[in-house]
Amino acid sequence: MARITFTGHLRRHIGNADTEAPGPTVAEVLAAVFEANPKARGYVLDDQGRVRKHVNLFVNDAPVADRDYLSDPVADDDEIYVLQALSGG
Amino acid sequence: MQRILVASRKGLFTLSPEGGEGRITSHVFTGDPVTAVLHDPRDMTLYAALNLGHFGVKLHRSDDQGSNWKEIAAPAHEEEKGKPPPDPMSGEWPPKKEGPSVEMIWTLVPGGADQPGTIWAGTLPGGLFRSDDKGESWSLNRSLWNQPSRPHWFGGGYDSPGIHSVLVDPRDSARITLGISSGGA
Repeated sequence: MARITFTGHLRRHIGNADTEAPGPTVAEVLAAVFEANPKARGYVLDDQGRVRKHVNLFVNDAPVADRDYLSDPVADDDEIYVLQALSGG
Repeated sequence: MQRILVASRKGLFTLSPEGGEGRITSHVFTGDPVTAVLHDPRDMTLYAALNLGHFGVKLHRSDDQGSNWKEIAAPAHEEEKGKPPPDPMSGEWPPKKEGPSVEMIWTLVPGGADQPGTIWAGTLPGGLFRSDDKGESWSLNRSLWNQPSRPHWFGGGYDSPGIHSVLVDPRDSARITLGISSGGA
């Protein structure tokens, strides 16, 4: 199962959602995560299921290529990170 | 009790009169942009719309005059069913999704006196949403969304057009008037 780690900034909104979930793609891993924590979905994805503009997902050390369908493949021992951009000067 | 609710970029403030002046008696959603607040005079419920930037549009409701808040469903566009995603092993570059996503709740307005629990939400990029269960669920007004003129609306101060005003006719709750920036009334 892949390991998913959410940015600490999300904890005050959705609690500690870090977990492990199965799936061959980022979309399927996240679907399993959101099934257990439905509120988390809208914080990471927009109405169309795209990654929100200022959120980024990494599989290990590479940003996901497909931000619309999240079809990037995931291996069993991969780690997925949900991060957000920092803004300000 | 008289009070003023102030939705700000740094949270929701409540000012209450004290000695002839207003004093801040409550500050919630500290640091979060609150784009609209509604006190529903029909049942005293409070609603606060947030735009969390990175994390999108959220809606909260208080059933006890602001002592406690609960996140409820925010208005959202239906996910469009387009071309299915490609097989990840095919090497084909996936298509882009073009469907809309709510960018901001600009106004929250109660329905008529004869419509308990009905709330209207005017949003960017131009969707009018209605809830009949105090914000637990929302539906897009499709007749407005499908108006032939809508593609000609444009942003006024924001990048996208938005509905900033919803007026419910007190004589007939089925009759509403909208203000659209920029798209007329």
